[in-house]
Amino acid sequence: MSPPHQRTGWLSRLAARLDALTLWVGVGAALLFAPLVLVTVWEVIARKILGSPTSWSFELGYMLTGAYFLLGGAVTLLRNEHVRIDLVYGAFGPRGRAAIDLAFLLVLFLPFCILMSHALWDYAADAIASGRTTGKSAWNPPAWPFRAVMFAGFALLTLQVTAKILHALSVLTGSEERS
Amino acid sequence: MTELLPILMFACLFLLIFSGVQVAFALMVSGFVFGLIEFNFNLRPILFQFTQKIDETASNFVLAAVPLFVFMGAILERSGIAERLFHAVQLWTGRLPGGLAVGTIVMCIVFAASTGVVGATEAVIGLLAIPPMLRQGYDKSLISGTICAGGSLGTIIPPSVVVVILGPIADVSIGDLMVGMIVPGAILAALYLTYVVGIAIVQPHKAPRPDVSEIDAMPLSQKLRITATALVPPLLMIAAVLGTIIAGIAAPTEAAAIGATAALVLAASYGALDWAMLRAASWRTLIVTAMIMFVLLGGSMFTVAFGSVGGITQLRGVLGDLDVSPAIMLAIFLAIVFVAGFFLEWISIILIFVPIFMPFVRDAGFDPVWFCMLILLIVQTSYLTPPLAPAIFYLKGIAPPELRLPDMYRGVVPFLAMQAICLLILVAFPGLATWLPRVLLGF
Repeated sequence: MSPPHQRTGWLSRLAARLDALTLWVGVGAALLFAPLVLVTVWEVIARKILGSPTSWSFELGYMLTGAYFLLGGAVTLLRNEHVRIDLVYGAFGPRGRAAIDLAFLLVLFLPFCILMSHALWDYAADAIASGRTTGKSAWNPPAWPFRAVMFAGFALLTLQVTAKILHALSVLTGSEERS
Repeated sequence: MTELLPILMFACLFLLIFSGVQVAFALMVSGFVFGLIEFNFNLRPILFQFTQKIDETASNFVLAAVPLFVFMGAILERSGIAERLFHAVQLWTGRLPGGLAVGTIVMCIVFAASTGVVGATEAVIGLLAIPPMLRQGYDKSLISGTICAGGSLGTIIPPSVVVVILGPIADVSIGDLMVGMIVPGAILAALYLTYVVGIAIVQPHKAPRPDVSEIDAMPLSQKLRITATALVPPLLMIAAVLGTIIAGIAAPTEAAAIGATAALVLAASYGALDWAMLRAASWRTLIVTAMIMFVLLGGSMFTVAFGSVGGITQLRGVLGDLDVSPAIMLAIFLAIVFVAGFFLEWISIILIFVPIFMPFVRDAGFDPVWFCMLILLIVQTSYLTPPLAPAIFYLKGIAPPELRLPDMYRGVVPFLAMQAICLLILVAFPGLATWLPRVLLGF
């Protein structure tokens, strides 16, 4: 999907690798939509037609939704689809836009993503160590797998932010035409 | 110094947003930085709060309705239902003054009532309706206004993704909102239609009558058959989603899943379902959903940090000291949302302002469902008010070059006036929003 640029240097190759990873996880996230529909529709059938609601559909449903958007956040960044107000941004040329991206992502957002990923790692590790369960329904599954997905979502976002920073750098140094 | 933090926090947020940074990330970062300052640069408390917000947002099953409704729209857009509907509607509206524009708005209404996405169908309808209107010599402002206003009806006509986000934030049941929207949505649609017919009567040169001899020659039975085959699929969608909510069969999220399934079945029955289409719709759904949910996540992070720096207490103090009547306060709230709509898109508006307004609305004894309807009506104007007018951007993306930006800006003004009238009607008669949920859902 990324057009074949004449990329030079290992930084650009690293950025391309990260983009590919993001894209593949995005495909995986998009596939979660099918079980989400099936689980939700099945719950209605089980409750209204079969007369016996499931114990697991509620928790499985929110976990699939959560995983869907958390893992899809990075590919949305890759495709530049996170909404922005481009009244000013749009008036700049490619280099101006790359400079804004670079300044914000490198100075503010990357450190935030790293710290947030670290905190979510601890959050998941804590659930493994304590054997905590979700406690939200009769099914009551272990809490760590979903927390691990939260970590994975932010870790992947961190990697994609890194890739964006590399792209912005190569636009500014003139080795790439667009960010 | 600390009492300045909340104001500085907002200043920082708007500085970031208007420099073109992603809205979701701007919300997260400004929340994080100011939370950090408040907690004396101790990382643990703010990261703990944010972790909780991530867990809460990701664990909220109601939000599953967002991808489900987006998917419904993405499938319907690509299913070919729009083409058939457009021709069928023309059979009946062709003879009316402004018939093509009337038909376009009717089609927007049907589409808005069968999908939960806002504006996404505008491109589909615009591509179909603009060429015949231009050929017919319609006024370019009228064409632009019709497409932009009709295309954004999805906000106020149920089902609506906006309501799925607004409900939990305002602590109002989504089912109540979905049903409560029916009457205000119908009033607004009726006002649009009235305007289009009215302008075609008063200024006939803006909407020249087409030659309808071909339509007249068609036997009634054939007209009915074409209409039935075109109208049945969207009506089934409406029944699948709104019907199951009203009948108490399904919660809104479940209704959305049924709607997504129904959309697939319909597309298949039209022979429009293939891998390429399914793949395109799935990508679109993932990306739109992640975009919405990340702004939602950023908004909840910003709000919790805003509370920590004392912003909410301070704001309550300021609003409490205003010493104005509840009616004036309501007017101020609505005016703020309207002005915000010039610069922000719907999700930021709802996330930033609704949590602040809601406690006052409840304290003043206003009906929360009614207040949410007023917010929805005004949020819809944010699609049309420049400089940031998504409805106009979508139109610009698909319009032929002879439709120019000034035509579009001029064209939406009368429709904004219709929205103001609808708002006044709803302010004068709150029962229009609250009666139907009470009768049908009995709260």
